[in-house]
Amino acid sequence: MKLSGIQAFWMIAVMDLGMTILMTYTPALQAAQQDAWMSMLLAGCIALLIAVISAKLVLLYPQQNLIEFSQTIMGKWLGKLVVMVYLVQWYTIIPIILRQFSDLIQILLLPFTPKSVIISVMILLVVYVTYSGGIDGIGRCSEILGPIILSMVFLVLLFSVNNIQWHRMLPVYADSGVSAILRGSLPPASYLGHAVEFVMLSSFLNNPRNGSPYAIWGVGIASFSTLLAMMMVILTSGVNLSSRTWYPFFEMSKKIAIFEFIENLDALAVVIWVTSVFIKLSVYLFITSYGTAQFLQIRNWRRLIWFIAPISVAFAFIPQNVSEATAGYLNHYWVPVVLPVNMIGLPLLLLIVGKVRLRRKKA
Amino acid sequence: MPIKKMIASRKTKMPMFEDPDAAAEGAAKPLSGSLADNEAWLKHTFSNCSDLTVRKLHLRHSVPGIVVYFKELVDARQLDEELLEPLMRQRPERGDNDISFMEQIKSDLVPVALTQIIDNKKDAVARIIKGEVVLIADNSAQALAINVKSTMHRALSEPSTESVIRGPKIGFIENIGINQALLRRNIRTPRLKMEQMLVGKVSQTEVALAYMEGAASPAVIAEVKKRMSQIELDTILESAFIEEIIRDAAYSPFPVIHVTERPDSAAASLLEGRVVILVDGSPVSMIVPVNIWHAFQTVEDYYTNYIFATFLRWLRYFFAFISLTLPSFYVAVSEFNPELIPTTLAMTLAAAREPVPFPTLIEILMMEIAFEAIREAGIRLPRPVGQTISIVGVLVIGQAAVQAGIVSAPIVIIVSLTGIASFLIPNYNMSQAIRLMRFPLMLCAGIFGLYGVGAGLIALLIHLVNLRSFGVYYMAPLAPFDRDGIKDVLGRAPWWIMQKRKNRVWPTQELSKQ
Repeated sequence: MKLSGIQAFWMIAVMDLGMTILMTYTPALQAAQQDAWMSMLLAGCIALLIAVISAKLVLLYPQQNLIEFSQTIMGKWLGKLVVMVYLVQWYTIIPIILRQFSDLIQILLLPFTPKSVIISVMILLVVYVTYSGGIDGIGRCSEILGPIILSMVFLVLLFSVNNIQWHRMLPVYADSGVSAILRGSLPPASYLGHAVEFVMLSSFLNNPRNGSPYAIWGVGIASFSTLLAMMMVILTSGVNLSSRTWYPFFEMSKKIAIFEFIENLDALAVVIWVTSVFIKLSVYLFITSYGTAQFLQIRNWRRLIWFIAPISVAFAFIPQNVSEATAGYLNHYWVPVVLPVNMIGLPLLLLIVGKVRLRRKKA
Repeated sequence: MPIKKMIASRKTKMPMFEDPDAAAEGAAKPLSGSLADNEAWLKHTFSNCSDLTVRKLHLRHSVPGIVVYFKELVDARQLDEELLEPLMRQRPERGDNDISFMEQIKSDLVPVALTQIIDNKKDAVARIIKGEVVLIADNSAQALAINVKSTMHRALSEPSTESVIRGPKIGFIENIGINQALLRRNIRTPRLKMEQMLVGKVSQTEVALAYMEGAASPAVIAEVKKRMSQIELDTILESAFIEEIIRDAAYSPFPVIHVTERPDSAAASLLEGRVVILVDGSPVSMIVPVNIWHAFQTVEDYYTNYIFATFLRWLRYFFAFISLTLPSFYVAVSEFNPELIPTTLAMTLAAAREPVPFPTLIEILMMEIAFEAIREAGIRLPRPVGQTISIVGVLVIGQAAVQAGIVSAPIVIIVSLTGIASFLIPNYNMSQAIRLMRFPLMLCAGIFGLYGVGAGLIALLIHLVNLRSFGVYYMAPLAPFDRDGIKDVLGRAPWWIMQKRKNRVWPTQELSKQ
């Protein structure tokens, strides 16, 4: 299983882009109101910082992934503890993505189809690609789907240009206060911070030492696109309206009308967006099953797919409603725990300890 | 699934009929020294073969001998003038006895270039079946096989499946020797290698592997040879027999082996570092390894203006996509998301659909299947009748069905557009695969709407990115991405740019690991 740099780039860009645009705009807009675009900018910076830390971290031991090098750096037991923290993250994120995704599909496309069916179709696809292709199969898929998803986002932005009402941009800086902007930036930052999974992917690269630019560019492109899309949402729908809708980006695409012929593009946009969820879930399913297999020292990681996939489907039904699935998980686990600990704290800790150890070894 | 296991499993399931000669004779029994014995054995082996000729003659006035051949397989003029006449002329006996009698005959009496001394019965039978003349003399355990085969082949003509407006109007024929010559005429260098193999336990069909030394990957050549040697069929009637056995992913409908009837197309593939497999008796040559884009390229793309060729390629990609997805999109949009259709058009569609009693999915499935049936009928029937079929198809099924209110007019438009779109795909096997894949997609669309179409397309994509043709990824150079190769996929780059690319098709991973 070997990954090329371009594949890693698209994987990370797609993983960050799709869900961030959909899931984090409403909380960001609610917190920072008119200054939500500054929150996005800040979020992009945080995400880049996360990407840089991860990229530096994997360079310490280029041939190892997180499971291996955390034990190399921290020792056997502390290392296993670190891995446990990440395993919790991975095992909870898959059901949540599945649930958020099926809520969205149900609301926008298939109001009469049960969630379980929507989820089963998606999990079948994810299992198919992970089982048959492994990480490089996912890489090849994202290489083809990535450009399509990115161009979908930019086409929606482009077609929305004639819906722009410039007065909505004013005031450019509403002085909602630093804390509000910061609060608004946390949800998107935590979604863009998915790039931290690069610590699991890097060792599969053809040339792990040269992989970091691709990861950082992936985050950069995703952050830039989400920033642009956020500004467009504010410009076309205004803050008041979009902070009250679940999916402001699709609301924007609904307004598109070209030549009075191409209208209501949201359904098509949803379908393309589904592909980004597919990539994200596949990467996570791979990381989870591969990581678990390494952690428990099971030789054939593919076998774990049969265990993880059904469990994730079952867990996806735990949240009672849309707001619990989207906001509850985000506000009670992802932002307060994953962002500071899993995405920044632990990688930084590993980086510092690893550096010190390597230096001591040299000396 | 590992290819080795696959070939093995297919091998055992192959029905085999035992060759009675091979069973009776063992491996290779020597010829008898006595002419009478040999003659009796031959007559027994070829009993009830009325087209076999056994002609008695005397060699050097004294030695009795026979020539055995199938009279319709040999060239009568050559037989008379170059074989029988010199034998009859009976030059005086040469003194030396160092070489055997047959060697003497070979060097003194037979002025035909291709002769071979044989000494066992199996060879003798094989030679006679191939159309050679076998000469047997008394008191000699050797025989002489003389090649005076009649050249039975049609004239070179333009292949009907791959016609071009500009470019050589010549195609492969059923004779492998002539096909090899056609390739040699295109590529005049000793680096063009042609290795011969015999495939088919009974038919011993000649197969030639052509490749450019230095350009083709040695791993691919070795793999092709390995897979060829594992074929255990009795008879090869067409190259398709071999194609189905040596291909990767036998359970995929997509053609991972490209076929062509055009020598220039085969030559171009050779120069790109691919391996061309020629099979005797078939005008269709096979090219490996290939990727999916090959199916959307024609050799004429390189003979026309590169801007127009690029346009044509995009047209093909677009219509291939239309052919694959249009019916399912129609089902999904009209049943689940009618708001995607502009309002006025939606009104028209709704009005047209009103008298129709079926759901859209049933309606479109009926018409698509009817269309496939008409197409199949048109191909199999004699040409004059085929035209009648198309008239009946258009008038009855198209017009009357709409007027009777069984199907709606938009469906007829969709189905015919899909049909035309599938004709744009130059590769017939690819066109078949895409036509086939339409149906599952339609079902997905009928159940899950646009989400189903999306899921179906993703499943198809997963299948395609994992497919390999002799170690080369099927979706390459798009996935895995290769900047050099993409020039010939996103368009047809002009020659001054294209010649700079690395023209090599190497497998992306070790073939033995497959």
